[in-house]
Amino acid sequence: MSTDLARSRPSVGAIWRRNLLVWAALLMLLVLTWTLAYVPLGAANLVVSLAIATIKVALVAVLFMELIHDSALIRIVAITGLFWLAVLFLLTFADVVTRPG
Amino acid sequence: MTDAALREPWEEIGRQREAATLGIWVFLASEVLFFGGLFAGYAVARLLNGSEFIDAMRHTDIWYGTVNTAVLLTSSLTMAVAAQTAGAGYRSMARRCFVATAALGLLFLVLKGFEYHKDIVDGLAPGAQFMLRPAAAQVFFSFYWVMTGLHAVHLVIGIVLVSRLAVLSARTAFPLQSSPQIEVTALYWHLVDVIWIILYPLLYLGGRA
Repeated sequence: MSTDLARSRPSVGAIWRRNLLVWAALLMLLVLTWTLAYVPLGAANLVVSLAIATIKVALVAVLFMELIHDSALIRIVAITGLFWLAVLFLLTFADVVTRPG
Repeated sequence: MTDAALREPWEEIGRQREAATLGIWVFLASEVLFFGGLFAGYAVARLLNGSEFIDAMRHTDIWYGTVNTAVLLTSSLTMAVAAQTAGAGYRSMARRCFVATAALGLLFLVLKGFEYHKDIVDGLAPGAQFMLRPAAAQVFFSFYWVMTGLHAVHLVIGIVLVSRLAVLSARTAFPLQSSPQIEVTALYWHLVDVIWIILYPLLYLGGRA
């Protein structure tokens, strides 16, 4: 099983640069979602803000949390958390939206 | 020469690191479900309570919320750099980044404290003095106080863990490059950030248009 030690050693500058890029994207998405909150889009306001939040979460999970470098086993465990969250929402809403009256 | 970070039952440090990463992701998945229960409750409450629920959201302070989001995103930056420089053996940079991460976490808590004070003064805390009339506003602010409070508890734990690494990384005897503790702490920290990334639109961005 290869470890981080087996890869060639990046410079401090290279480490900062690649992470600053992710951070810049996250901040731009923050400015975007904050700005769009003031634009009247009706029901789409919620969808848009959650979609942007999802992109931010994906950036943090894949790049900062390094899922991009991890083995399939780790990725499966990470996805599993989301899977069971989806089950929670699915079953909860299946109840709530189908209530009579 | 066995690695200083190697523990039983592992015979190879790579396997130990993989096991630690697996373990923390399983824990993070449980944390996702932990907050997920609150998220689902919020979603149902928002669905069933209509416009008064969202009207109540206008009373949260979007400046505090947005600045705090930026603070946590930056703390994830410093945490990622800390973890990666530690893994590459840059002890001094890693230590400085652990300190920066903990400091940013503390900054979030300080700002949150000021925000909570303002919320209380504005009559938004639970109790007889709650100043918004609709019942849906009480429901919204119940979620606000519980979700941000629970998040803050998690953040305090994160700050303690990161501060511990800031101290340990100053000791040359500590196997910074191979110890699984750095990645475990970093992943926990990023999750605290992720939870806030989701809380921000749910608690601050509705009802502004």
